[in-house]
Amino acid sequence: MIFLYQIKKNLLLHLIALFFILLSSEKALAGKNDYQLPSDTFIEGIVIDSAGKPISGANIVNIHNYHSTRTNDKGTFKLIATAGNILEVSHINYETYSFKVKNINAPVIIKLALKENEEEDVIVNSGYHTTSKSRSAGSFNKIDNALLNEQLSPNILNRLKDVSNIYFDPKQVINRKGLNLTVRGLSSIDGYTDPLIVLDNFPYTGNIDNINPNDIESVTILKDAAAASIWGAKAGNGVIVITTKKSRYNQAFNLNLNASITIGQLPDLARLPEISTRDFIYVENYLFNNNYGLADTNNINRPALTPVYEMLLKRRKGIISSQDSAAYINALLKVDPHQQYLNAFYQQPITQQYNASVSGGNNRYAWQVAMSYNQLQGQQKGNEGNKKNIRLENKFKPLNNLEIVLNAFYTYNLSQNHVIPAYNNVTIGSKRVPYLSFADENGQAIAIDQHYRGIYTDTAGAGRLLNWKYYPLTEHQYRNQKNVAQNLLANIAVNYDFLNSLRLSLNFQQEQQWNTTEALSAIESFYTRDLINTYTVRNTYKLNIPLGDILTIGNGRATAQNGRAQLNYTKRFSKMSVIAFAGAEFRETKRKNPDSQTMYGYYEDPLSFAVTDYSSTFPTYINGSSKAIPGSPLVGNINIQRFLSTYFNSEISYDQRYTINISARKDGSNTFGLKTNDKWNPFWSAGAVWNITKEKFFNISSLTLLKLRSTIGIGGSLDPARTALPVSTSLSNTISNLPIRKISTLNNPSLRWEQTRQINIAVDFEAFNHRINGSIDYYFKKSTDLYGPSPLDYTTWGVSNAIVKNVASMRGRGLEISLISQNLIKPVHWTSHVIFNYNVSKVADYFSPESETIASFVGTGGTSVTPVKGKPLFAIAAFRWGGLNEKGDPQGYFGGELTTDYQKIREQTVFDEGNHSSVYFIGSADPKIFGSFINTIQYKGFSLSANLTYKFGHYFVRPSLQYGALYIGGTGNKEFANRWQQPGDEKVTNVPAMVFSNYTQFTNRDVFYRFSDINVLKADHIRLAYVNLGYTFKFSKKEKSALRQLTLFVNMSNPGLIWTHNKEGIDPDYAGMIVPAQQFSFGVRSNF
Amino acid sequence: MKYFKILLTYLTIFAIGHTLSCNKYLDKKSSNGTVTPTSLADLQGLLDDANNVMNRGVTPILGEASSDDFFILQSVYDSRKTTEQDFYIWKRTPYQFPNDWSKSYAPVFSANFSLEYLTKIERTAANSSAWDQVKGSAFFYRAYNFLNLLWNHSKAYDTETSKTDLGIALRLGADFNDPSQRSSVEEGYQRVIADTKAAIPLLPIKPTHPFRPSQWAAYALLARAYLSMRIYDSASHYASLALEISDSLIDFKGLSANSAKPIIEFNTETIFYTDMYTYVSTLGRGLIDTTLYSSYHDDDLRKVIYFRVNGNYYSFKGSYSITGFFSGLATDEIFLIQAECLARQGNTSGALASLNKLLKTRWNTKFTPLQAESSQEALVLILKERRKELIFRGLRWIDIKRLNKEGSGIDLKRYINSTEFILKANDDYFALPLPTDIIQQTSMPQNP
Repeated sequence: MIFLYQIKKNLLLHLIALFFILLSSEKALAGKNDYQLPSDTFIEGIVIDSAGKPISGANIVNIHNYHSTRTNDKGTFKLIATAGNILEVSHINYETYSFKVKNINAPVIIKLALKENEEEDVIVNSGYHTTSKSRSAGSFNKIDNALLNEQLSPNILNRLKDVSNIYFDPKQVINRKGLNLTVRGLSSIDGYTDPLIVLDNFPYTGNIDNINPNDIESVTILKDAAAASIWGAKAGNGVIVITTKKSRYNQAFNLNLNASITIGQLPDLARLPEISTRDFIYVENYLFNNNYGLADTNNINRPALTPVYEMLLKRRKGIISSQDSAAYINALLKVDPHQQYLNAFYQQPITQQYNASVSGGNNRYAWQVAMSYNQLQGQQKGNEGNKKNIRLENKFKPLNNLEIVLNAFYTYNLSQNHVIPAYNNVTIGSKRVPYLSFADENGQAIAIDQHYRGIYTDTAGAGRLLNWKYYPLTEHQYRNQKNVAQNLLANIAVNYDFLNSLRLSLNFQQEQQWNTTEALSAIESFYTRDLINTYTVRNTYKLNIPLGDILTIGNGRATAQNGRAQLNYTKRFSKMSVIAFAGAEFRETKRKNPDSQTMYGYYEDPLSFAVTDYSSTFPTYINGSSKAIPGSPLVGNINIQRFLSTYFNSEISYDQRYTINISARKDGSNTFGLKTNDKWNPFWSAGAVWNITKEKFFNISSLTLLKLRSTIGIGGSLDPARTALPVSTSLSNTISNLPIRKISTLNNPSLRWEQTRQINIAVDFEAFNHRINGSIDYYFKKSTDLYGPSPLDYTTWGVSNAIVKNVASMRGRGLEISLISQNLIKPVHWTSHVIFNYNVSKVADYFSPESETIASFVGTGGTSVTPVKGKPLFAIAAFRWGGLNEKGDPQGYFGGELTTDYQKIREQTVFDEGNHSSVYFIGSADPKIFGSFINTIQYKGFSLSANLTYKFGHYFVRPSLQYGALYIGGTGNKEFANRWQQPGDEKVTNVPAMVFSNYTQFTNRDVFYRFSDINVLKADHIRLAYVNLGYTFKFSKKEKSALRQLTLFVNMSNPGLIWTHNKEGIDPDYAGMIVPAQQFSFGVRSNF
Repeated sequence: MKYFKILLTYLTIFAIGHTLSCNKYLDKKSSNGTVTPTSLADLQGLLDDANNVMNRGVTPILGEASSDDFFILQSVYDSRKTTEQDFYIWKRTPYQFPNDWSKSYAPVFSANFSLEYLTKIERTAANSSAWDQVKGSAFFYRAYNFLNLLWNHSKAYDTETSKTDLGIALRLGADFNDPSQRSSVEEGYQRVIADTKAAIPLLPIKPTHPFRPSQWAAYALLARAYLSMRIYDSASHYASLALEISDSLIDFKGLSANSAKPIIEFNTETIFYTDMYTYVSTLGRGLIDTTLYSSYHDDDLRKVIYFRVNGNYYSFKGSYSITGFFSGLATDEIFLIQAECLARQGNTSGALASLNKLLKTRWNTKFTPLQAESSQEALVLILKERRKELIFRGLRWIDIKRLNKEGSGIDLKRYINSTEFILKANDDYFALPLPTDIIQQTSMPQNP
């Protein structure tokens, strides 16, 4: 620990020191190599396994002189030795073997025994070291290559969905940027909830889409404190370690070619519970007769009116007859809105993925080159992109005990779109209208009055303005948005082995990402024409925005630098083995938010553009008000995060029976307060393993493994948006005219990470001749020091009596069960894999008046972070429903009595959860239970797998009819048809009667109905996530085929819901949204 | 063994290295989008933030509003909030943020913040005057506000008891995580004096703007502080030093009595500008104590410059402020401090000279210098003139407290609904209670 304390800081010096040591020891070693007197003698031999097959890559060390070597792929070796020397032969998969050299003239044959129970041992990578799952007390969830290949998403994280313990949140959470996935539930309220993503050794800064899933060997999720706390202040939300495929020494030339095509279906728009066109027109008639919105006809902003409104106006003025209007309505009724959108704006999404990798290696050098090309075609017309990845990996051993590893990754990711409107996003004003046609019978584009009334744009400018019509069908041809992301990541590692048990590793990584965006709106586009017209001066027709295209370019970049020096110690005594490492590292990430610039009057060829005055205001054409031209240049700010960290980790096991894990880490960062950096307040973890099967008293023969594990420890979590520094604004004093500064956010020298303490208790087992294996993990989490408002002793700063501090807390607990059962082995191999996750978490402390009442949940629908003491962060409370009254008004309860005074219900501040309270708590919006059930059947070369996923124990708010939303935004629910229409209907329906917007408490009435308990449904459901079918051809060497293995596969993903609790068949994950369409893939994987 | 030596070397280098450049690496600002006040100009900017933070609407009003220079009508009383009613009749009442306490601690924070960040800026030949100005100003502001807080929320200074009397929270750092603790009255006054003295060599002799502290202001502040501690020789010494820098007075003969605001802000007497936070409105609605009003001679121009008719009574209109009530330092106060101290030291003629120099500017041409047989007689005159000159300047409350220590026995009386409320001389309530929420949040003891 003293060592750890000392290596706290100053990485640069450390690195210099390390290199110096390296050099000096190098010399010493080189001297030794030169010192080859004729009397030197060599021993030769071969290392084989119990079956007599040669073992390559076994390490042979002469304990006497510390010379070492490795066996080649024939299993043979040659090493300086004399008789009487003791040689130690070790290999990761075999028991270490020592022997005394008796006769150097005779080759020795060394037979290594497989490590017991380690045939199926899982090697997990923490980013700092690899360890075997059997020795570690930590909770790891490893997703191996086969499981990663079950799904074909070009995004590596999406391939973890449904096959890991990660929960992918389908909710669109307001104000939460990030990956929307959690490991073991939420552990932050106002902070950052994403797990840390690590690529090989260091946190990955770039866009996760850049990583080519084909380059990935496995993914390890570090779930508990013992696994994750080595990542210190970033570990609190869990860690996802992505491990790339590695080249190996002594590996024959290897070529892999993969290709796949994924074809998606068009979205099923008809499943949306939308109001029918007939009902919609009925409502429009009703509103028109109530003169709703008719004041707009005199509005100088010329807001657009819907086609039905325009028709009704003409009818009222007598311009058209009642037969004309009936015919017009009939024509509108024939319009199929789904088909209109599908034809105009959608295309079949297709993803093509191609990947090639070659690797090879001899005993000194191993290498790998991988390339991939992805072609993506999105669901919306013209959305397309491509991605190229190149990866190089080299490692070589200039000396037996020195390894140098060089890696480089490059990604070029292009995506473009044409600003295609999403479903329902072609609006009149801001109103969705279901009967719009985008093309006439000849396929010609039809103009839509998006902003302004047609009768205005018909004549405005008397021909001296640009055409002011919007043609949704063709608009996309003139608009193009292109985004190019490039990412370059390079790292170097030097590994130096000395003293037989020590390894010094130096790592450095530089990552660089560039993002450029280009948005071009041609002069033909409505966007450009509208903008030019708007800034045309009335009467004079002077153009303040010149004719030409509009180009907006943006540039952002991010860099990350990491350096690490680590000393590993590995030693095996007779029954004891020790693996320990300690190190220090630095990390700097620098993110430049995009600069942007807009060019008007732009012509690509010959290149020209106009200089624009952004600072002046210009009169606008429509209403004459003055406005500045949008798009003034923006320089993005730079965010820099720096870390200095030291850490220590050890794993001591005795007789493979008992293992103790201990780790500690200290982080300093420029985002923490000074006091935090100065404090010695380490993250730590401790754990123990007891392998009961190794005990002498254990004699249950059917149980081949029974192991208890338990860990405790602390991890942190950071919100990069927080700063420990005071934030101020600059102004000038109105009286003295002196420049002044005003502090708006206080400096908090004690600001620090949020922290999560976790206790994990687990059992691993294996029974019935390896037929069943699994693990059960039970954990408690207590997250403290969470960011939240805190009352401030304003003696310290008289300006405010509250401040954001590390004061809030949460508690959680959960259960994870993983069970793999080999139901049948021969001739059909049938495996079932059950993943079960249970998690509940709730807010323990949070200081705000809102956190005291469950009424805060009402109106959120469980989609926004709502801290209420004792409740989950995302939860649903509802108004108690009292049925419709004889007027079709929904009724609630107030003081145990039925009422329609919704305002009073809402304002009620005390809510008991008794039977007559007006609002009561219903439950979590996040599932308490989720998981998967994966079945794989293999027969000869065939393989069939299917994954059933499930979520239980949560609720959702069913989409319902809101009259306000219907009148203003045109969004209605199909239940409009079932609304209360006449007395007596209240017995058969819960849908409130249609009332006009001047009705008593119109808005509150909508809110009450929407969030009343009848519209809160259980969200339990079971889904078929994917089905995979494959056939593998294997070619033995005898066949003299260059091809070793060939797999053909087909995959179906998102087949859909199997069962859901609600009777309406609403998919609870996508209530009121377009459900993701099914996808079919087929492809080939080959190995030469 | 060789390897162990190497390892040892390595560890040693680690150990040396760790103390060197780490802090600089982590000092890097995490975003250039946020303006962190760290440069000298930034810190000066913080101290120049006069409105609502450093100078204007800052100093406590509760003491003045609890004093005996004014009264309010029953109708006004009835329309006040309960808190204001209670304060008016010296009844202990719960009160919360924002208040006098919070307002006084805002400039204390800016001062402490500046002092902390200043340690990270090197003082060079090029920036020395700006650097000194920030440091001196910060010390001055801290002292100035501590003194106001002591006057209001602690008992008057008394060498017998001040080491145990409850003082205020002497916050000397900007870290709000440090808990607030009340120190003794003795420590409080010593801090005020130490800070002010530390400021003197750093500040310019006269300020570029009355919002800014200066040596002139520091001497005046010391005179004020020592007077309230009843250390009259020191008070006299610093009063003289202040007046040496400038002793100019406004000649009231040149002011317009008809004006709604006869005295302009930033006038020639203003040494340092602050005005009071209007936590309570009773003072603003206050009518001048009738006996006090009638004590102004008809040839005393203050009678028409300071006051206006309001119904049957008179209201105050003679503040040196921009708006509200001036509470800063001005030369008239320093003349009175000098006069009082000289009288207490037995220098009758010196005392009368100072007093008459001031009064000459306050009267019309009919002014005849005041005379006294003894220094004691002179002192009575001076204290009477002090109350008349410095009305509504935030000085009366501490004057009552300190004069009662000298044995003046000033009891305060209010009449509401024909009930008489009395605050006896030296009552515990003269140390006004701290805000209720502060007492709840911190473990600081409430005043007895």
